[in-house]
Amino acid sequence: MIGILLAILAALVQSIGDIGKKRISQIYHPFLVNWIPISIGLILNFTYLFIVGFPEVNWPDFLSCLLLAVILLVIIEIRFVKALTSGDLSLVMPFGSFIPVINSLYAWVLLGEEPTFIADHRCWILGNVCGSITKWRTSSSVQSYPE
Amino acid sequence: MFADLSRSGGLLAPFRAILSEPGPRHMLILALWNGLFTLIMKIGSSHSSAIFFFTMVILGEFIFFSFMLWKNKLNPLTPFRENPGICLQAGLFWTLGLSLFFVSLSMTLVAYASAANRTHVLFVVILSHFLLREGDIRKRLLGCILMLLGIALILVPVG
Repeated sequence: MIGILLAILAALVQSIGDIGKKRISQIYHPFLVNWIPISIGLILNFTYLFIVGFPEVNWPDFLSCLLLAVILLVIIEIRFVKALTSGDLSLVMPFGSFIPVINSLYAWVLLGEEPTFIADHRCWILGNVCGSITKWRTSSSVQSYPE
Repeated sequence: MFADLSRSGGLLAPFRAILSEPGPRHMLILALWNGLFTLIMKIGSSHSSAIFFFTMVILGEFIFFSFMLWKNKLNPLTPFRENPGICLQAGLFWTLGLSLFFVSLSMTLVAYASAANRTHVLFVVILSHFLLREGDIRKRLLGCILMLLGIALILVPVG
């Protein structure tokens, strides 16, 4: 339950960060839009780690995961800025409703984590219906921002 | 009930939009990569801690984007000089949000944390209206509320 509440709190905080990123993306190059939060993030997280202490690390497995995660995050950040500059934030973001479904499938196949499978299906259907309605009602008011 | 079919292009218009409009297409491809990334984050965190792994990941990303800035002759300090407030807002909340999310991943199932984190869309729609002056809040909120119903179906145990 704490994990779920923390995820919701993270969502609220992230959305404020996304508003900031959207504002920057209208002015600066996508590489700068990515670099700015990362540089601030590094300062914050290293400060936290120096205060709390560094954890023990299982280096061989850690490094292989790290390499893969860095490559994936670079791809994700570039894609995200492209998505941000392609339309209204409140129009593009609802298409991210596919993320929990895709995450559930990956986690089920690769980690063996099994949330209620029927619930998954119902979420997929509802997610698509609401995504459709959102897109449908706003399709006439799409604006484009310069890349 | 909710839409003017003749104006919007029919029931399949949103799905056609994935192919014809760049924003939704980028977001959909992003969702595929994001799923894999979330999983790697969970596995990586189990070999150290969520915050440490996340910090190492953004360190790698920092090196990559610093190289790209140097290659494209972009001055990274310009935005900090011109718009320090917005830069701080983006950086502070982006880091805090993702850090909290990766900690939550280590506390519950990926599916649950990921579904709960999707309430992000609701916050984005509300905040975009008030902070970015984006229109159509009632229509977009309707979609988001339906989306949250879907999230609730993942989170609430069945049977």
